[in-house]
Amino acid sequence: MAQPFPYTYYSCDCYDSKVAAAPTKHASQGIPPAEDEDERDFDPRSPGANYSLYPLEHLLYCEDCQQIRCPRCVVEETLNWYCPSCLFEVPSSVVKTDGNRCTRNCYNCPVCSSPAVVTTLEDPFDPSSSGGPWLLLCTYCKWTSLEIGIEFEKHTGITAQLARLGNGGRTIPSHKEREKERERRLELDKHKSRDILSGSEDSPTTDKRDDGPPSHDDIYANLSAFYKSQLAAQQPSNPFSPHDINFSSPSSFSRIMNLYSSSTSKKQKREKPTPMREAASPLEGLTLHSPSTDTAIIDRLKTSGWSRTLSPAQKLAQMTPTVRFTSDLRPLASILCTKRGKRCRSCRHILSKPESKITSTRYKIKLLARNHIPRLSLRALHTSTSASASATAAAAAILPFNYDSLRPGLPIHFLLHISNPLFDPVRVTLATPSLTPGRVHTRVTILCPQFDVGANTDVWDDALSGSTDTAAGGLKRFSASGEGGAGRGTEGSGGAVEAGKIWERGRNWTSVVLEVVPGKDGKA
Amino acid sequence: MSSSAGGERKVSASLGRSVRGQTPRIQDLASTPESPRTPLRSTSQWFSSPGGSFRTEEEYVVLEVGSRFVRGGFPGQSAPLCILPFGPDEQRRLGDYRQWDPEYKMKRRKRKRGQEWGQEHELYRTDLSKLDLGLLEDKLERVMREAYNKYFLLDPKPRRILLALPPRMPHPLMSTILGVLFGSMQAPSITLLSSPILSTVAAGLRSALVVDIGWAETTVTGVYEYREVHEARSIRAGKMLSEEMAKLLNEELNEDVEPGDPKIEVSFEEAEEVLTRVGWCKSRPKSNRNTLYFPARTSPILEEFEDAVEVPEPTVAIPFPKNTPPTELIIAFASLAKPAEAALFAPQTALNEFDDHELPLHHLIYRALLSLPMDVRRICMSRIVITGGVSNLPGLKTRIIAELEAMVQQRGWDPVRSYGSAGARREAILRQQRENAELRREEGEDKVSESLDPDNPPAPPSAGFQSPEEDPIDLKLAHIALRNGPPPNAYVGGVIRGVETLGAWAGASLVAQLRIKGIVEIEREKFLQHGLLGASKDKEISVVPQRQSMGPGVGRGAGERASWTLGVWA
Amino acid sequence: MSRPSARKAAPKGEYIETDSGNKVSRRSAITGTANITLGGRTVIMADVHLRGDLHPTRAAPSTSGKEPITTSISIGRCTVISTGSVIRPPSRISRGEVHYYPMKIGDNVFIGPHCTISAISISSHVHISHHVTIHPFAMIKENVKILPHAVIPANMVIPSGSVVGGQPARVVGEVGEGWGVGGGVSGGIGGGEKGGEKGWVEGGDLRELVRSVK
Repeated sequence: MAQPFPYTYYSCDCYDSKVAAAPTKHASQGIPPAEDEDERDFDPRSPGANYSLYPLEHLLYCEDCQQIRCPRCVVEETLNWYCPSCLFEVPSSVVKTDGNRCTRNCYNCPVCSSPAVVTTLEDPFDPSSSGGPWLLLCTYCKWTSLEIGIEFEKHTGITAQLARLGNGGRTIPSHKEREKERERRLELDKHKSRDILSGSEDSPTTDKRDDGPPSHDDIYANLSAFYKSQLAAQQPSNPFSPHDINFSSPSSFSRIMNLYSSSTSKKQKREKPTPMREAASPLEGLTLHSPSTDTAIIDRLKTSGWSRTLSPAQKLAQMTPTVRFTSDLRPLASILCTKRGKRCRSCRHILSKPESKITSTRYKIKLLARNHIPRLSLRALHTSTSASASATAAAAAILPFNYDSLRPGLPIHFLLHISNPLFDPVRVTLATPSLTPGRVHTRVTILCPQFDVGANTDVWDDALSGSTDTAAGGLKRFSASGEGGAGRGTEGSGGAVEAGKIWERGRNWTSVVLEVVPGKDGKA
Repeated sequence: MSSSAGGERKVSASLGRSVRGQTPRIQDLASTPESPRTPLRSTSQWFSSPGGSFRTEEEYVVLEVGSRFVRGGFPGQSAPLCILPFGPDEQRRLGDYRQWDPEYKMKRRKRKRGQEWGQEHELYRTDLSKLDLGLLEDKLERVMREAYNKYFLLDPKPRRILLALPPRMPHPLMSTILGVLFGSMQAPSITLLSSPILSTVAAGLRSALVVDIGWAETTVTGVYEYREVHEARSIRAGKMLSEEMAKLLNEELNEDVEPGDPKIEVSFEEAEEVLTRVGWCKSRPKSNRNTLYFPARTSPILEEFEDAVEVPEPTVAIPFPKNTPPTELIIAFASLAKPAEAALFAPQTALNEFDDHELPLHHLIYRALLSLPMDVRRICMSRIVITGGVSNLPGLKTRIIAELEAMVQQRGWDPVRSYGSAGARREAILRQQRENAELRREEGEDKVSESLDPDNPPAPPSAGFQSPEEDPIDLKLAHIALRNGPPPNAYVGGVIRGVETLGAWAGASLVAQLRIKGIVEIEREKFLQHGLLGASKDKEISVVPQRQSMGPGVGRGAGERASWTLGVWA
Repeated sequence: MSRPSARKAAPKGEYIETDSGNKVSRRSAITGTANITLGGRTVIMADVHLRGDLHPTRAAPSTSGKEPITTSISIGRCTVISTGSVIRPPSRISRGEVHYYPMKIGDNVFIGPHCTISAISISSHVHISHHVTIHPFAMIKENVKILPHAVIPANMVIPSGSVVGGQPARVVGEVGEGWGVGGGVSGGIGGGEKGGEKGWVEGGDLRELVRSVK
């Protein structure tokens, strides 16, 4: 379990607004985790409850709306970007062009996701001048970039080097080069087709593609270039066109103008551009299905087996979605993180705003729900009157209460502690279904369902008034274990579990006892 | 138009018509019986606002919401920034980190009672009767928030959204999805584009038969000039496939289990992983091959592969760490192809035993083609675009294309499946036709097509168009067409041909990059005010005549922004 | 602040308490004490190994013990190291020699039982659950929560405000804005565990926890 067992979740009001009669606060009842872990421990109300229950520390409070604001009823706005690995701030202008990834040497292992380091392959007996060649090494699973045939010449600027290096060590032409190459080939194709028409059959330049099937990126670039050229061809002479990506934006405008002037409309009709055509060659992004690629993949699967293929998580982490084999992996540049402020979704007031400096962990504004709503916590209560505990009292004093071993039918007492952050006393009324819903019917009784919790008055006022309550509270000590879990009262404060009485009360807190009788697993 | 129709008069599998500089017109289709729907305007529509204020500054987020994954990224990128699944691990409460507990991780989770296979991993299903829309909203909300916060990392400027959705999405679903995007993501406007069309765009085509083998169902959409003209569906898709895979694995794993011991049941995740890692699809079995089939176009490699009988049967060792005790299953490589066989092709079952909604894929595609108008069919059959998650299964595309080709060879485009007593006569006619075709093909190949493009010989013209001698004018026209017009390849038709696509998301990214306007654009204010009901119903009708009268390019006048349509989703 | 009254019980107790309020278990194994600094009110529980002997010996490693005392482990205030954990400064082999690097642990850090820590630095308000392994040179920033059984790979940097888990560990979430707020601070006088509530929260001020350790 991620949370130490008795934990408290708060339901945000946004859930109420959707589903009518939902309780506003749920304190987890002591239902033992069933064998079937998949059953949610807390009940089985709707699976949608998972989206509206939050630990207190995740809740904010909007003072204008006087409402709790959970992570879904806030709007987040990015304040700045940084790399989680090197902790450098990245200016917003380059975030997007870098693909939201760090361009320093922050790489993660594509196999296990842990950070990869740049290490040298240098032969200590034959050191090279640059100290290289270098490679990326995952210190966790020992994956190296050699497995995909990549070595670096320098230990800096890995991103730039990686952009030029394909798996297996071949160089990837840069974007510009590819563009040029495409132009050249298109031109060549044109010539070829002309040659065919003019009868000169001897067009020798059937330059074979050197690098197998084009990559996903290549196809995309080809397609994109093709569409752009087609669109440009459709608006050949547009005086309004600013001639670049926007080349054709005002075209409709000019057409509308043309419609109104009768003299040009005729001309317009004659010049009506042919609709753009389809891509016709691989250079334009057309890829015909070829059975041989399929067969090649199957053959590879057959020979290389399971270990060479990628798990779904590894695939999803890759930049290109088409990868299948370990040899296709690419090191993953770490994805940037953001510092975000939060605003209330309905009134737009700022609920939290961290200081913008990356290294700072402070907040300029932070409106926490815990300063506005009572805090509930639950823990097991051991008293000497508890029959089961007395036998092993000595052991129990050291060992934390084991929440996993609640036995069906054996009543256990839990202490529900409610503390009040407000400067006014609050009156609390508790209710619980006597039998918890779900598969395991546990009987829960609140021994004192209605009580007051004092105001969060000034500490010194309280101390000066010399309240005996606090003294009593101070007496009670628990031996905390490393688990941070529960402890056991070493000094019984004399309180017997009694219906209708609160267990203990302090300046701004009250605790009451719940009796829980774990039910039987309905299945067993 | 008339010539193209004429070309189709004698449709036969390998026959096409010669290439001319003709361009298909959108208007041609306006009168097709299939009631054209127009999600994408002709591509000469622009983001343009008269008199300046270009919206170059406005940026888009491109999303594709599928039933199991959301893909999101920015225009101009070839692949999405993130592909986010809807697994049970994604649906935990905040602060519940149990999936990172090694003990929990090594435990196989059982399917909850009453839950269908993989239901936990779905965002939605089109059967709304069992769908909790509130939950859908929650799930999508969380995933979108993750996408925005962890992957998009946008500044606070509001972004328009380009959303790829399958056509015919139920309105309550759409309304919920849009609600989340407008509400939580604060999108100022959302442009809807239909995914088959985007797949077509991402294949570089204008018309295609898009076969989307998705999770819950396979949809075959005939797209002609960027419009859906026909749609057919089958439940033979990813879900069935993964269930079959689970069945196979269970069988194999339980072989060694003592009779008294509890049966091993693999979890959804395990079956899914095996399927995506080592699942594959056999090529078309030879025994099925019809005698009528002439193997002119099958690749030689394929044949070889089929013939090779490996002496030690290749096996794959699949680890099952979540099993108790952890085990490794050695399974014959060949049997890993069985699920695809059973789920998608079902060769054991006679055709008449299938319900309409569970046709095997090749029959589904064939029927879809059959129901297209002839000229559309001619174009579409040479542009079969297979996409969707399952299409990544190695060998599947090849298999589908081969099956389809065989069917077309065998049956032609005759909607009548059985001629009963008239069968013999029909056979004779068919044979005659085929021989003629063969003859013509041979003749044709001698003359023109070979010289045009040796790699990809366009099918020869049918007899009606084949000129006995070279007409100088024709030749000149062809010259001009070639020089100025598109290359001949762009008009291939009449043969079965598979075309690869980059997928709907990449298509959406292209469209957004090129700033092409979709016909369904929903403004935030309007949606929040009226919901989907705010869409004008008659918009659909008004678009077509407008285009015809003014030509492509002038779609909407100034006031048209006031109303919006749901286009294909209406 | 005040010298806790528990001091007089020290000779017989589990813990030895120093002048600055550090509580060190008699059953802990601390080597190279000269190289370890404790910030005050820090708790070292039983069976904790602090390997102060693995100190940096950068310059002239062969010279006899006269070199200035180097710090190998420095631990801040109100930090709790639970039973069975091993704190071992990270090392690197360079030119055939092992070099140790000083490790720094901040204030109010909770290290759960049975952890193995070789981080280069752990900043303040970090909560490390039980059975966590931190490989050499990992750097953990402020306000981080590390889930049980996590294995932090070497050289990993964990940005502040993250929740980390898994083998190998990755960032799996964010701690909320309310992380570490509350606990003993608001309790003021007579804090302690009051009526069933523990007086400290994960990532918060650990003074109450330290006080409760006897």
